[in-house]
Amino acid sequence: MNEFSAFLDQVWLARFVILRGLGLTVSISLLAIALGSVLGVLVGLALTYGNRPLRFVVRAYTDFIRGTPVLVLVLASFYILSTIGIELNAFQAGVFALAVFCSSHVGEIVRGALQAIPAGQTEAAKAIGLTFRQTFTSVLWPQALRQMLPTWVNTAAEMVKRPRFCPSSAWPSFCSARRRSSRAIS
Amino acid sequence: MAELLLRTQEIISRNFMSLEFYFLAGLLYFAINYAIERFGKYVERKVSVPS
Repeated sequence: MNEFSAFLDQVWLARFVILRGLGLTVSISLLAIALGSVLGVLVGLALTYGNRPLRFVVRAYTDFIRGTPVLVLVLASFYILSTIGIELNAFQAGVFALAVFCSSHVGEIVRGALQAIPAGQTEAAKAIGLTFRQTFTSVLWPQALRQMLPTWVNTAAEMVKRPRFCPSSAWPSFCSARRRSSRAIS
Repeated sequence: MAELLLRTQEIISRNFMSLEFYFLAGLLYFAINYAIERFGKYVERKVSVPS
């Protein structure tokens, strides 16, 4: 009982530190999930309905990003982008890397959901004269959404645990290295 | 900039209550994921075909 009250005492002392950490985790993951989902729907559409060159490019993007560890993506968005003049701070680099990672996963989920819809649905929509946009918004997307939601929740839950790879105050030496590398290149 | 797990590790380095604070961090992660799961269920209910 004494130990538990000591623990509660420590929690109370550290409440603002914990809340700041919680706020940062929630904001990074929610932004990454939102941006990644929007980008992922576009990736899924390109993978399903794009022409051959577009499909090839998006397939390469998806496979490359999915096969890259998150830490490497975060490091790349923090350091490599600075060498081409895009200076992202730690928060922006974290959100960008996680959104890109999320988009490749959501893209595959959307592709799977769209391809699971029977071809007869698209054919019926064409037969009644719907355009592709109308077919997608009124026929395909409502059905695909139902199929992809459980897996999307799974990906979103995974994204919450990823901000631990984001740049932190423990990276000051890396920050100075980034400045040095940018100067050396320019 | 330090997220929840790094903040937890900072606190643990000061008071050495590792198990207790990791458990607290786990509870907070669970709370976030539970909220996402409930949101998913809500959207599923909204888009389901009424039977």
